[in-house]
Amino acid sequence: MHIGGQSIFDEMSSDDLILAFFPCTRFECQCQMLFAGTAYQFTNASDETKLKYDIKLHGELHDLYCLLCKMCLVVIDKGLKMVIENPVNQPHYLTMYWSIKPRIVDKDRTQNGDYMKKPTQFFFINCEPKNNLVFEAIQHVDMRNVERLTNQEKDRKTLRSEIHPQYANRFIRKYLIDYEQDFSKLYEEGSEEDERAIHEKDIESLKHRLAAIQEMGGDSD
Amino acid sequence: MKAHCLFEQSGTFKNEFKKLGIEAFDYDILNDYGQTDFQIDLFAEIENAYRGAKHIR
Repeated sequence: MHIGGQSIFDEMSSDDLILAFFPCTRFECQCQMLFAGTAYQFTNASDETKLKYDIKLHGELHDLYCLLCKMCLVVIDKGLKMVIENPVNQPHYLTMYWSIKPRIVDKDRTQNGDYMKKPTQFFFINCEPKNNLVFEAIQHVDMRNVERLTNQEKDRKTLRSEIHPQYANRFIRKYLIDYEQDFSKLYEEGSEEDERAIHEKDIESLKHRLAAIQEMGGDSD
Repeated sequence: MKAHCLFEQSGTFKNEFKKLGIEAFDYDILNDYGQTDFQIDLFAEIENAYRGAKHIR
């Protein structure tokens, strides 16, 4: 651990990009039930228990919120570039009580190859999102049902948090780096081999149709 | 350009940056899968940087 004002941020340059998956548990809508004392674990809890928990919980929210703001201030002060990721749900503490607004809101991550929809927002500090074209088929990914997540090696929290590499790759290319898709390769791959394959397929199809007509005793013209 | 991925689940993005030819590192307090480049208390690092920053207090 660094001391005396030194930190990992000293090793980063203004050409670099920081991508922060800032802890979100105290900003999400589920926290509202904890504050209100209506979560399942408070079913038989006394007012005293709930109030003490409220103090603890609000302290955690305060600490995380201040850390988030400080992280942004450090990045701004040092001229660094940063993208912060956080879920988006209603209500979300940052949506309601933060001065920084998201530049990208992805309402359905499965559309870009992730495991779950998990609406997500991205905040850009000292930089702007690119808007590159990523034109390619998305490989099928089995959607994860939150209620049925079970795995011998990973707990449910981890399974819920995991991001599919396909989603990460597409996001980086589309929004974070200078990227230009090479469309010439797509055209070349379709010129010789694919045309031959299409031609052979057409011939096979024609043969089948001819055989069917002849079986029926019809005119093959 | 280098990519610095902070907190949980940053490993996935780190690996994809690398596949795209960009040098990348991840930082987290945990190292459950043995792949975290810098196992470090990020909260302490942020506090430290904030205290040491010249223009902000």
